[in-house]
Amino acid sequence: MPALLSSLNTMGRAMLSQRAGANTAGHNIANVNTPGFRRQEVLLEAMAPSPHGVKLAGNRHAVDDSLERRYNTYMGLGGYSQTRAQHAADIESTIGQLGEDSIGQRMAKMFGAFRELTAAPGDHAHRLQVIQRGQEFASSVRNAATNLASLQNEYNSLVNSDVDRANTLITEIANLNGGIKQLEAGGGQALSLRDQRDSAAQELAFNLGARIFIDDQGDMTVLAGGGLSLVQGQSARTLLADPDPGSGLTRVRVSGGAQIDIGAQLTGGTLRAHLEARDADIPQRMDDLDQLAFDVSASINAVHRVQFGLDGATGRDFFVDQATVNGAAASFSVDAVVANDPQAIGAATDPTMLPGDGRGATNLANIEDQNVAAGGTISLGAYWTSIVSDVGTWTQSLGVQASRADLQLEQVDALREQVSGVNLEEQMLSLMRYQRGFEAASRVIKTVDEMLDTLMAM
Amino acid sequence: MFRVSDKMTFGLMQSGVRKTQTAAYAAQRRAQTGLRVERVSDDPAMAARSELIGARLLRIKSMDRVAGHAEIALSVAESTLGVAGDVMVRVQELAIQALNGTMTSGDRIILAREVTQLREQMLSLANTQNAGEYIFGGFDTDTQPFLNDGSFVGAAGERQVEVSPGVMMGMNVSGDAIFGTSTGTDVFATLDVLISDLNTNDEAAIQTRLGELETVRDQITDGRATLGIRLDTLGAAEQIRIDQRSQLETAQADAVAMDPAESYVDLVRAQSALQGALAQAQKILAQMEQTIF
Repeated sequence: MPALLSSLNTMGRAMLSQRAGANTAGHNIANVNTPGFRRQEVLLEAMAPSPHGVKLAGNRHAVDDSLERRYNTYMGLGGYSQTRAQHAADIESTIGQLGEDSIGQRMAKMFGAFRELTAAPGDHAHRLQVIQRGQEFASSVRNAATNLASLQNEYNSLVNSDVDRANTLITEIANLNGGIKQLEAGGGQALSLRDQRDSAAQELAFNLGARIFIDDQGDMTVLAGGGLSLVQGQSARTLLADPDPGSGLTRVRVSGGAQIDIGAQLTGGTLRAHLEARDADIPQRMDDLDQLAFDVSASINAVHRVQFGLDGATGRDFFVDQATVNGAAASFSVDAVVANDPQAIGAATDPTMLPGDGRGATNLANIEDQNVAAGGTISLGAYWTSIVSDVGTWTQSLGVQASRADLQLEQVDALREQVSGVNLEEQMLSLMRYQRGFEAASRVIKTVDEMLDTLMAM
Repeated sequence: MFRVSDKMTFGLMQSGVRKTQTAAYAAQRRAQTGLRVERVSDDPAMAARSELIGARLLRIKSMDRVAGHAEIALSVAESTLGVAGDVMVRVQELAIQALNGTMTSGDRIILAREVTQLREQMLSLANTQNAGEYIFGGFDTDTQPFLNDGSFVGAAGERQVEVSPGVMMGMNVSGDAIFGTSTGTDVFATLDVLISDLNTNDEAAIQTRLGELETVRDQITDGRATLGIRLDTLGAAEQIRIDQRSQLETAQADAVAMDPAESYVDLVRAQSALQGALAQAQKILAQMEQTIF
């Protein structure tokens, strides 16, 4: 049978334990809105051999590791899908504009100007209109090219800033690995540090599509791409972002040894989306735009060159001649000679029939119906419309994928919250429970105290 | 057992409000712009259709303008030939008068003077200008087509323009065909000979001229009739363009526009969904306040 005094010790420990319970409930309540916080519970065990009361066996961290890993995977997909969908919408805004000022409509208006010229080939005002409509069309193409180029630069900056952020997170995780190990080696618990480490891991997953493992030492290992390890134990590798010697755009490599280019190997994350938009999506649309500009100038110039201006001269280009498809859109414009002199427009097929011969204008207008685009398979208007509708379909499907990824993320997040989230009513009840336990323990102390008094008075 | 954390509850309220807000905004935009398809990705197939229809509508617009030019040019030419026909009628009257037995050579000389004046008038009609262009000069609209001696120095040919899809029309007639210097009978040569016959008092010759004058007059009248037919065709072409435009505009609206009634219902529905989400949030908050705090 234990001595009365030792009962005091036992109940003292009981009070401390109940107070710890209340503290933990308070800690949870305080962190109800903290992002990335996981609920803690005190673990109370009866001390053996009885009757020695209760002991505090530490705090339980309400975390389900497999859910956390699943969440990370979906974060990677989510970051990738959302960003890719946003970039697609950006690209759609540059070249997929609808309405009266769209590239397609301006091209149609230019052909309309040729058509109207057939009725008044010698008229100055009609010729000016041809030049004006040609220039408006050309400028809409050049603007689209410029906008695509600046989007590409923007995405390049995003690559740079994503790499910076990733490096910060990688270092943080490696440091946290060390911190957690240190605290727990001394028998303590590092639950807050673990929360921080998991938060960093989630952000890294969103950023790079990184995959997380806890190794048997309890350290977090971070893998990216096809299994490249970024963090192992306390050592972290750095991502290097420097301009590719060929394209001038940022390439992303991993430090150490062979400096592998990680860009192509990423499996998710916003970084992958930026790289794909920058290196695949935008160049493809640039090519489409270049092809249009090239086909328009080639087909119109071919006809215009053999026709005669009001001054009887021939051999002139209507649009600046493009040597190659590549870059045709950025330099697409009405030829300076024609632009400065409406008389130079070649609207006649017979120089002895000036100024009323408008058969050349008819020829130019008829190009609208001819299959001169994309290797001679389709008309210019149909070609451009197919590009625009392609962009729209692609944007739409990426949007759907992003919504789906969001939904999956929401669902897994809900599961995590079930396990790890804070419910205020629950915590309030815990608080009350531990408070009663505390009161009861103090009541026992009071009783023991009275018993001791009785002893002393004997 | 299913646990609910506070973050989940608030998260659900927030996402409910956010989603209904987004949908309400989209419905508002559609109601305001009247467009169901604003961006291509809203409905790529319909957007593509709308673009192609747009190009065809622009074409009809330029055909409207072209046809407008043609109508003016053809009307002016037609009425000019009307006057030319009247001139020929007067010449014929004078020729018949000249065959009257009571006419002296002096009388015939006086008639010759009037025919000369009529010839001048015919020359100026053949050289009519409309808005600075010589209407009977063929392709050469800058140069006076008929010289004083009646020879044609224009560039024979008709300007073909598209007045309705696939339908081309000559918006002018070349003077050499009407006034006969290439095909048919030469108007000025005939008048010149008549003048000379009147001046030389050659009755027999004047008799012969009558047949020629009739031929010339028919030539001019036929030319006028051709122009009249073309003007009628223009009228028909206009109707075709009007019909096509109406069909295309309807098709375009079907593809991308929002039916006003539909968009109103849409908007009301989206807004009431938003109200619903907000009301739910309020209710949940009220319930939370009644906890053990």
